[in-house]
Order: sequence, then structure tokens, then C-alpha cells
Amino acid sequence: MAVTNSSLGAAQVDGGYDARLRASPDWPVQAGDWRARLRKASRAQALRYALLGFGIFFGLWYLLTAVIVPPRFNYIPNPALLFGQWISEVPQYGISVFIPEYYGHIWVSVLRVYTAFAISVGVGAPLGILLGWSRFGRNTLFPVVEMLRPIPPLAWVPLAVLALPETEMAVIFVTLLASFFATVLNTYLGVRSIPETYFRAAACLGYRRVDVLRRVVIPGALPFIFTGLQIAMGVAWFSLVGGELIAGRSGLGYLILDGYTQLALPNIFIGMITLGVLGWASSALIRKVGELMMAWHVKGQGGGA
Amino acid sequence: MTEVHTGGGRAAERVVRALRDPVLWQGAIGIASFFVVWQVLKWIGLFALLPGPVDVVRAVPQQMEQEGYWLSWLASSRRVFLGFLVAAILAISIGVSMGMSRKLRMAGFPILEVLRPIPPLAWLPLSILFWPSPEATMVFLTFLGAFFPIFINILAGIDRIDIRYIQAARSLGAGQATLFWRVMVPGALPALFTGLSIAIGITWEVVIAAEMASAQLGLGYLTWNAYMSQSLVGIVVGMLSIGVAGMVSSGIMGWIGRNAMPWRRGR
Amino acid sequence: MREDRRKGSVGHVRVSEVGKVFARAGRPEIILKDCTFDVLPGRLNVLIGPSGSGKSTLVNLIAGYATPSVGEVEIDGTRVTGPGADRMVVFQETTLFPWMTLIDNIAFGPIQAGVPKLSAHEQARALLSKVGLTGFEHRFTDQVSGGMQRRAEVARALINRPKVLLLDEPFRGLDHMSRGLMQEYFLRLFEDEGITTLFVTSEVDEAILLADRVIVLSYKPTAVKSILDVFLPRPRTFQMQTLPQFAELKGATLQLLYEEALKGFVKGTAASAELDRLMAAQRSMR
Repeated sequence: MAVTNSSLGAAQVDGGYDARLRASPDWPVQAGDWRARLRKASRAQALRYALLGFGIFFGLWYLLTAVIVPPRFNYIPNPALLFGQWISEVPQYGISVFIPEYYGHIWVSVLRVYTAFAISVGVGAPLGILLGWSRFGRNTLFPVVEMLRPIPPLAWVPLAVLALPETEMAVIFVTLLASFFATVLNTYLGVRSIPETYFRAAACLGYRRVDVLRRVVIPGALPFIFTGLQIAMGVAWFSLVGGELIAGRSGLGYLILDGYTQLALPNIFIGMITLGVLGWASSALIRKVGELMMAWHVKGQGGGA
Repeated sequence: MTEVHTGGGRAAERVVRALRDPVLWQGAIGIASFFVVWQVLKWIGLFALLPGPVDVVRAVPQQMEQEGYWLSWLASSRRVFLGFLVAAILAISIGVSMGMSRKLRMAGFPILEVLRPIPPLAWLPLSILFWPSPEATMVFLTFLGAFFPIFINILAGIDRIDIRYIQAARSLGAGQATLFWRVMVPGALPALFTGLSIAIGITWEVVIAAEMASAQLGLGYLTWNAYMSQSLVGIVVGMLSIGVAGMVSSGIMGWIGRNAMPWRRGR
Repeated sequence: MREDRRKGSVGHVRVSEVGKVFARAGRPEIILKDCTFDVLPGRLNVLIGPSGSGKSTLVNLIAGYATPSVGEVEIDGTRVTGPGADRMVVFQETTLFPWMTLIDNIAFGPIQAGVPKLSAHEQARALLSKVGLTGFEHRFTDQVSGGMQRRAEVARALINRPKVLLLDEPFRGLDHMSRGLMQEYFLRLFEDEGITTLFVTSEVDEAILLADRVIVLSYKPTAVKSILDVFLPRPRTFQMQTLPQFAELKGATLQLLYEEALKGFVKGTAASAELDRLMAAQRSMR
């Protein structure tokens, strides 16, 4: 029992199999056109839903902090007040986009994170390469790394504060610890991921050890190194806040703590959100740099699992 | 993964072979030289404040006998466990619903993406104000630390389930429920356990910091207390205890993972 | 139930005037054009064509994973509108569930169909022994070799007694020896069960060794170029590859494929390696 198909019959009248193909819904209407339209439509839909989500989020926030205010919610400033203070020229609690002190805190935190990051990459990446490349280095040093790694960076705070001459150094030390381990570990994994055949090929070509390092080890490990750097940046911000809360005298973590002791509630939120934005931007920066440096790698990855 | 499948005779052989392994010896040399360098630095007078390894080892029994040491283990573990449990339950249910429903995901995911970069510890002062007890504050922070890694990983896990498995199951006559329990769940399990083991590490990190700031008991508090009384040996013992606690939790997590996913053993 | 599916009463697939267009970067690409052929019930039908012809697309259309742009696919007179349990597909890559043991994988279909677990496992065990996997029932998929996975996959499809078994280059990527073994196992299975089969391959020897009919496809856009009947006796053995009849059929098939591969080559799209292979095979025939 064949199913009759009216469009099929009509197309036959127009003549030819090609006409029937052209009449099928699979045939693209105009080159590229419908795809672009579809993509735009789905993006618009995503945006609508995202706005809906944010609307509910801020609506609830406002409702619970300005209209109903259940017990303890009075500690949360309502969004209108918060953002009003943030952009106020004369903020009640002394912090807004017009106050230089705000940028002072930002600058201190950024400086700490990037210093810690630079040190942990500068020391961690070479150490990771050593661990991955030299069997003896790996066998002797890796256990030490594995022994120290489980101690969370923040557990080092008291020791760092006592042992290091300056609090500033202690905060940076705590900030760099986690990112250091992330860099070492991922660089190590990156070097280990390079197929043995590459090293053999390099040996056949008569590369010196420096050349092997420069032309096989580093480029081969680069994708992993960048994964490591992204993680490192994330954990650096994470630890920084801990360090600043516990031992800082300035910075965004301190701004939050100060907001707590002074009960300057909007400042707590300004500090938190600023930290979120800076952390996100730093990760995005690293991702972009990584993409640029590894354009060849992405291309080459086509069919790889 | 090294697992002992066989009984005593083979095990003994294994131990002998392991002892002959140069990797073991070189590792031992590495760790030994770490402690030697530490001790030598101490003798030379660099980092004079730090206790040497000998001092630490000597102090361990005494530190462990001190009042509240084991209670601190208990207190910290309870906070980690509670926060982790709540995070796992919420992250899994939200992650799965967003993995299944595109609309829910479009509405909810952006908000979570905005909240995610805020470091968990930045929530500490607000939490102290908001939550009625320090205990609730610490459990909340632990929850925050654990939530996002679990959530992100389970979502990615659901996205990455091979469409061919779903097609195959459908062809074999699987209904919605079977598809979910026999295909989606086991398919997303590896990613879930990746998230859970990242999360368990972060919970210890967060709980330590929270305890330093606001607890009366716990391994973080212990360390902080040692700092306040300028007992460096106490600090180091505290740190080591925290390290051991983290390792044990990761070990438990790994064990659970291996048992929940027997098909991934030996990978 | 078992008997009426034996020896050719069900599973007649009719592919009539099927065409398939894909949009590639907004431009139409005609993959299939006016394909008409039958998959005869109870027979081992082999589909062969140069790589890049729409073999897999055809399998997907019959399986119901995609719908034809023009024309239709029918099974025993019923139009195919989507996937169904009457058709089982075995792909080149394994789709065995890695989180289940072999026996659980194979018993999955019957259990879904309501067969009690115990008897489903019994059936599965019987089938596993037929494909030489006794003793591996409780291994996970990743713990057995590629060849074993392929056999288990065929068993998982067969246990559901589908009307039609579709195999899309199931033995591709295996080494020569295991491929030969797989062909033997598969021949025994087919000759025992008699399930209507459509077997897609790009290997001429495999095609002729297995087939009752060889459907040769032309190169882009794909249509049916020719259908050859293989009258080698059953049960087949790999020794038959030395019969003059076999050589004759191989020569004819190669000639057809050679023309098509050449077309693709002239268009600059077919893999030249494939052409070289075909040419070498032709030389060895003479």
C-alpha cells in the first residue's frame, strides 16, 4: 500500500527528477539565507530566556530585600540601592566608581594575582617540563610535589605570615601556591602526552637537546600548559581572596572584610562582584592568548578524539 | 590503578618486586632530600622561625593528644560532608534538569555563569552576617565551593553523551525511563565523578579558610589557634592533618567512583 | 514467530526513487539520486560502492534515522517514517554500551520487549556461544578485542529477531585475519537464522563471499548502477574465493566499480588511494 504523495505528483508534472529534488524541503532555499535566519532566531530566543532568567533573579532579590524582607534578609542590600551606591558620586560608605580608593583596592589585588601568577608560571612550567622530560627528575621530585599538593594553600596562611618578613609576601605566597601546583601538574601531563615517536623522529633528525626542548617538548605540551594556566588563574583569584581576608590590609578581599566590620553592606557586594568580573576577565584573557598561540593546534585537531 | 586481585603468595611477590623498583628508591631519595634540606636550612639558621622536621615528628604525638584534636577532625569532616552533600544533591538535580530542558538551561545558565566567577571565600563576610550560626556559614561556604564544579561537569557530561548510544537504545526499544536510567545516567557518570573529586578538594580548602575566620573547633581553627599562640609546630601539624584529611576524602571519592563505574576499572 | 521469520517470508525492503539532498554551507549537495532497488527477504543483500558514495546515507534512510528528500522506503509494504525495532543497525564503530557487560548488552533488547531477565540471559548466552564469545559474557565492552566487540554487536542486533538486519561496513578497520574470521562467523549466523540482511561494504572480496546479490552503486550522485546475483552454493566457505566463478564475479564487479571510481577521480574528489587499490586488484585479475 503505497502512500500517495501529492507534492510528488505535482512535481512530476513539472517534469524530471531534479525538479522533485528541488521541491523537497531539504533543498536549501537561498544560499546561506535560512541558516543565518535560523541562527539569528535561536540566538534571539536564547537572549529572551536569559533576560527572563535575570528578570526572575533580580525580581526575587528585590522582592526579598525591599518589599517582604524576611528575617536576616536585611543584611542584603536591595539591588537598586546597591547599584545606586556603586555609581554614586557621594557614596554613603565611601566606595563607588568615582572614588579612587576603589581603584586602589582593585590595583592591589590585580597586582598580587599577576605577580603570583607570573612567579608560578615562571617556576612551575620549567619544573613541569623537567618532571615530564627527565625520568630521574620525575622519580625524585614528583613524590615531593605529590606530598605537598594535598595541603590546601590557605592552610599555609599562618605559617607564611609568621615565616615571611612581610604580610604582602605572605599574601602573594598563598596566592601563588595553588596556581604553582596547577601549572606544574598540567605542564607535566602535557609533556607526558607527547607521543614517543616525536622524540624518536627528533633523534633521527639529529636534534640537540635544546632543539628537542624548543621544537618538540614546548609546542607539544602547549595545549596542556594553557589548560593549566587557566586553572592557575582561577585558583589564584580563589586563594587571593582567602589570603586577603585572613591577612590582608588592602585589596578587594580586604574591602569585603572591611565592609563586614563597618557593616557597610554595599561595599561587600561591590567587592564580590568586582572580584567575579576580574576573575572572569583574567580567565578570558588567558583563553584568548592560548587560542592565538595555538591556532595551528586547533586546526590540526580536526578528527582527533 | 594498582589493585590486588590475588591472594597472599602473589602479594608477597609483588612487594618484593616493588621494593626492587628503582622508581621507589628514587622517590624515597627525593622525599628524603626534601626533609634533609629542610633540616639543614634550620641548622644554618635560614627561616629560623620554622620548626625542623625532627621537631615536628617529635611534636606529633603531643599535638595529637591535645584537647579537641580528634574533635576538630570530626567537626571539619562534618562540615565538609554536609556542604558537599547539599551541593551534590542540588548541582545534580539542577544540572540534570538543565541538561534535559533547553528552555530551563537558556533561562538559568547565564545567571549561574555570572555567579560562578565570584570566589567562594568572597561570600564569607556576607554569610557570617546572613546565616544565624557559624556552623551554617561554614556549611554554606563549603556548599558554594563544591556546587559549581559538580554542576559544570554534570552538564558537560550530559552534553557529551554519544548520540549513537541514544539511537541504539531507542532502536532496541528503550522507553524514556530506561533511556534515562540505563543510558544517560551511566553515560554522564564519569564526568560527574570528575566534578565530585574536584569538588571534594575545594571543600577542604574552603572549610579551612572559613574555620580560620569563624570557628571554635576544626582543623582550620586548630591551625589558626596554633598561629595565635605562636606555636609553629602546632601550625605544621595542623597543616599536615589538613593534607591527610584531603587525601583521605579524595581516596574515598575515588573508591566510590571505581565501584560505581566498574567498567572503567583498569583504565 | 521464529519460524515465520526464517527463510525469506519477511523483511522485504523496497527503496523506490529515493533522493537525498543535504545543504552544505547553504548550497545543495545531491547525495542520492533516483535510487531504486529491493532488499530481497531472506537473502544476504550486499551494497557496494566507492567511498564517498551515499552508502551510509542509504542505511540511515532505511533505518529511519533520516527521511528521504524524494521517494520512499517501504518494509513489507509499510512506509518507513522513523526508527523501529523491526530494523537493527550495526555500525562500523561499536555502539555497545560500555557500562554494561556483554551479556547485559545483548539481553537489553529482549528485556525491553518484556522477556523475563532469566530467559533473556539464556537466549543471549546461546547467541554468544554461536559467535564464539562463551566465557566473555561478564566482560565489559572495553575489556574485549575489537573483533569480539563486532561479534557481540551483531549478536545484540540478531537477538531481537528483526525483520531486517542492516550492517554498515561492520568489519572495517579490523586486520585481515580477524576480518576473515568475522566473515566466517557471520556467514554461519546468516545461514542459520536466515534474517533478511543488507550488508554495506567497500571490499569486493567480502561482498562476493557473503552475498546472494550484490548491489553496485554509482558515484555521486549515487544511484544503482547494476545488480549482480551470486550463485555460489551455501554454506559458503572462504575456500570458495579460489573458484573460477568467484573470480569471474569479482572481475565484473571490479570493472563496474573501476568506472565509478574513475569518475570520482576525474572529478578530483575520490580518494586516489582507492583508485590505486582497484587498479592493482584489476591487474592481478588479468
